[in-house]
Amino acid sequence: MYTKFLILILNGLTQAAIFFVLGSGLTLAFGLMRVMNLSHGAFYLLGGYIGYSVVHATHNWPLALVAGSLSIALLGFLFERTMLVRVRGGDLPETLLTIALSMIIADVSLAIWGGHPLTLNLPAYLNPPIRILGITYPGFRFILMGLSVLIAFSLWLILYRTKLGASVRAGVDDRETASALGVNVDKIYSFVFALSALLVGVAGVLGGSYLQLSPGSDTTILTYSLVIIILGGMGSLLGTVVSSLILGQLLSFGLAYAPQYSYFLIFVPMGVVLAIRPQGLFGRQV
Amino acid sequence: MEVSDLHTYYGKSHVLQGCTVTVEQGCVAVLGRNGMGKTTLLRSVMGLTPPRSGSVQWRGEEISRKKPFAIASMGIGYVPQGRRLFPSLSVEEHLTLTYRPKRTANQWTPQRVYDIFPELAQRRKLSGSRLSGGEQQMLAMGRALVTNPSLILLDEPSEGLAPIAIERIVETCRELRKANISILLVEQNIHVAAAFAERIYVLLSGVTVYESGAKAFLENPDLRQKYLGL
Repeated sequence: MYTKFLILILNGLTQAAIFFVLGSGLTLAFGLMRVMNLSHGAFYLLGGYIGYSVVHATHNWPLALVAGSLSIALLGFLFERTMLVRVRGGDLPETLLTIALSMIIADVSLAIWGGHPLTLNLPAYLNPPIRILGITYPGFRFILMGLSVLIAFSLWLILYRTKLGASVRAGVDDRETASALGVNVDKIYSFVFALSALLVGVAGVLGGSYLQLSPGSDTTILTYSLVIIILGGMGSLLGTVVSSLILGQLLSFGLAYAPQYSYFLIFVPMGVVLAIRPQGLFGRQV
Repeated sequence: MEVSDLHTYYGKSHVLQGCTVTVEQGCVAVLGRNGMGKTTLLRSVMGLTPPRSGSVQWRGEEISRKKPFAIASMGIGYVPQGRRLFPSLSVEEHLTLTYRPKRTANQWTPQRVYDIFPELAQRRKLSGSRLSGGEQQMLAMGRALVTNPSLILLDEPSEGLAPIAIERIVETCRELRKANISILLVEQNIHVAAAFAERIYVLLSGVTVYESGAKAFLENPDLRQKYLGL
């Protein structure tokens, strides 16, 4: 019983680590730009696939992480600069544009990587079995959690300890006033969108290394991402941390005790929060 | 700065219907009742609600098609109505975020803002939204000053403030005049305008209908009655 619980909690933490990396970028981009990037899931999938190909070709997992995340960051940057910028402020065109991109990515990925589920091969040195509190648990999952904490900490540093971060926060609070005081909000937009893409690229490589990548993962991941940031409060980093932890455990225990409902379960806290606190746990009223 | 025949719309509503204002050295106040387009005038100058026609010339350059941040970096400071501080930023961050150094002896630095508003120095680490109304107005002005502007747009600085806080703001504006910063002031409170404005414009339904020296207008009850109902 105890062992099972411990494993479930650790699984939940692993899940939460991925959830945080997924949600943090999306929530920042939404908080600042009010643009819901519906190609977030497709970015994840593509990042994972690119990582897969790099691992396949070079057997170098760290290189795959770098390649997967940087290429998605570049894609995000170019997409924002050349496309999104043209429909700024229009909810419907933004939605259509990001959905269109996600479909294009999904189909191109299907053509290149096929329909079979793929998983990135982890080198043994990154996945040593670790004995902890009487159980043995895959070491890579601890690396995952560590990376997620590291990312959270770096994001916090950037946001709260640099001038760039202050301008991002000012833009989130009131982009009009920020721009009227000489902050180049357009530049900040590009930066944040690229950062968001970078993070989801990281999530793709990490997720693809312990879950499977297959056509359809993109929509599942997009759904998760949306639930995470709606529960936490859109635009809030702390909210994303908390909601990732809640949803990670819920998914992990749900899979163990009520597998047929586990996917449904993660919507429950979101439903409750939307009913009593529509701005999310840590969100501010928009 | 020369604003001529400015027309601005919010969607279909025609708010500014031919607004002409000239600011040379000194302080110009634009008066008018609520809903006459005063705030829209400043927003149009700043590029926040770009005018549909007309022109805004700043030091001989047309700026009415430029973006707000570009206009701001040409030396125009903006103090919006209702202060609009950033709740996620501390007092100190407000001043360092917009600080744009200028290579002159009397440039505005965050320190200089603290010198004229010592109460802000004591609240350095506090969020901008947790200050009193008067302090918020000081911070909103300080945040515009550290951009080292030659002209500052002040939108209803006295709104919602206690008389003693208003006095501080008026005092500060006089200081700015001494420091050779021009002011374009939009006000409902004519006593504030009277305290340091040199020229007066009256805005009626988006049209500048009256212009004169400040004294001539403020000392003439008939004119005040006619345009402001005071």
